[in-house]
Amino acid sequence: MRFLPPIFANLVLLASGLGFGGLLRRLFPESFSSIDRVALSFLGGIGILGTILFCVGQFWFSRSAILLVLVLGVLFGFRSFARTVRECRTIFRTVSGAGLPVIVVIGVLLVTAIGGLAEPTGDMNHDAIAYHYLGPKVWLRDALIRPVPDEAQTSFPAVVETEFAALMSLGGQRAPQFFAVFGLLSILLMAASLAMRLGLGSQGAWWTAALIISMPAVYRGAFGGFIDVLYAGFVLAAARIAFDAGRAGDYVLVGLFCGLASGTKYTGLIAWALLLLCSFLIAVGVRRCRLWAVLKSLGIVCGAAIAVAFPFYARNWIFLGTPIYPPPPILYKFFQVRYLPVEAILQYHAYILKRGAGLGRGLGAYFLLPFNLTFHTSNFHGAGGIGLAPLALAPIGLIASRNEWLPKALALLVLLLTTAWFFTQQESRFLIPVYVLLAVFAVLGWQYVARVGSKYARGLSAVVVTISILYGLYMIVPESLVDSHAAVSPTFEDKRRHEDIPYLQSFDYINAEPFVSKVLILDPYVAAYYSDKAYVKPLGRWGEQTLPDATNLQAVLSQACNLHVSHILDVLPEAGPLKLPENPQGLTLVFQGQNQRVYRVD
Amino acid sequence: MSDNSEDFPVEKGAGPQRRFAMVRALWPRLIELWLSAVLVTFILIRVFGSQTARRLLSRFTHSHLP
Repeated sequence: MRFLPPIFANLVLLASGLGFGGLLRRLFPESFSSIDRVALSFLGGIGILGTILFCVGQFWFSRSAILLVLVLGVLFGFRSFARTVRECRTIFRTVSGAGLPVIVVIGVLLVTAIGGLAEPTGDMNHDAIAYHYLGPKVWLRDALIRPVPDEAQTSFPAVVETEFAALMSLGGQRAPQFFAVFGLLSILLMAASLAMRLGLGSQGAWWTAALIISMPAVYRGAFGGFIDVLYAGFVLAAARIAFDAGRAGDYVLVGLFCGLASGTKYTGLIAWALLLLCSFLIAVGVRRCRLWAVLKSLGIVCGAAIAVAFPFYARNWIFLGTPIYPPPPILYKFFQVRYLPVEAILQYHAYILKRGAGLGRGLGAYFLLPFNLTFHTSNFHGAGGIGLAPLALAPIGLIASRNEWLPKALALLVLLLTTAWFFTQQESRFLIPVYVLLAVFAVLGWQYVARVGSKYARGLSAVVVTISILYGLYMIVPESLVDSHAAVSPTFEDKRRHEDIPYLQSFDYINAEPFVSKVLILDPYVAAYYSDKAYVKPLGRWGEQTLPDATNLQAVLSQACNLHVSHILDVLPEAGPLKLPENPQGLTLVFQGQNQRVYRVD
Repeated sequence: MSDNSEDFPVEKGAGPQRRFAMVRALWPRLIELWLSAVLVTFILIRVFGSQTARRLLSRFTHSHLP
């Protein structure tokens, strides 16, 4: 029974997303195939739903508001439902002829679905616990979408997080984890759309999907609260339409997907700019379009993208003083940033630069990227990498399709995105759009080798693909099985909760005790996600200061009354600036566990 | 994408016939060499370079010692 609410919530969200996506169908070019239409309406629908929820949530984010938006989407969906089913049937017909890759894709999706039903656990090192799920939980409690001041990253663009909130509201804490299945599906559909546009056929599209889903770096970007796969889907959808665009409606669609990418991650702004550059170069240089017409169409793209992404950046500007928060080094001098002192901003950027240093930013490291991304994945936080196929077969695929302009355009996009990634933050999952395109090129290369290569080369390329998939599965499946085990075994899940959730006993006390109304959490590294009650955290882990002039314990405690705090959670091993002494005055110890104490404010 | 199975990465008519024939003969070997190199590197780095393999190798090399 505990699985029904999360599954139901996800199905409602899917139906609503497809409903909103159906509104885009009028804009699709006639030439688009069934797979293109399904992929784009699926991704577009998810994006539009998230954006609408975000806009509505600025004023009203109760369960009724969420239900209203979702039902609206479902009602829109009735009109296009039959057409979507027809198109999906066309896609399902290709399953019977595809064989092995279908087993890989379905197997991984199945494991993800079961593992996705486990309760999220972990400490502040898990991005999902630290901010992807924390924001939605607080928004639901406050019935309003506002950045959580003690966690700067909850102010990031939130197309997907608002959907996590809707899922939590309908299906509980497990529901957002299950959403990974739809994230993976969307990227696979988009990859298949690109693969078929490049002439791969349904068999090739299935192999592309199998290569992608068995890339641990891609899988990591979809599971456990990560939003990178959906971000990649938006970027690729924009690219898919951009290079074939001809009418004003096509450019509106490109702009919509660029806006959605920017509304999902800040890196979407870079991807948007690079896609514009790429489209311009290809339109003027290769397709010989008139300069004025190209500029006009790119203007339409920018207009649509700004309209979609505007709410996310305007919200930050209004509530946090800067559209991009934490602001990059160029911006912070021009804006009055709230909650984050200058030292904290500089420290944050130093951390980002250090984390994203990869194997250096020199020329040598740049040219060795294909090799390093394949074999030294941990230097990029790559979760097991991308397999062998991109390095071994993608260059051959590129050579094979050298006479066509579309592969050249996509290769240029790969080059630009990779270069931007190399000079900003070398975090493997940020490069998922590139990995997907490389997988398409790899299958193109494989087909080319199968056509013109010797028997020995054909055997070698088959070994490359086999190792790619098997090695990827070896990295993905064991971890997913732990989640699946937790999902199906309440005993194991409980054991995992006790092992993985720091200060669980205190949170259990706080959540169960009816007299606890608001908690003061003194330590910045305590995961506030686990508190079902309202809380105040004076200091955040990035140096956020949420209370004015309250950087020491005395100042914080003096404000406790004004904050209507009923209890204080203090944890022992960390020696932070806000450390309670033994037997503090005005506080009564009401719960004590190992390294953790809860006090009642008298 | 190229549909011609005889289509090697050489501009036809761009160079002398002999050079074209030479590249045409070499191209399949180049593909084999490239694929083999990637596979060997994978075995060296990801298989023998892994902690598990190192542990097994070290156990094997020390097993004959008293």
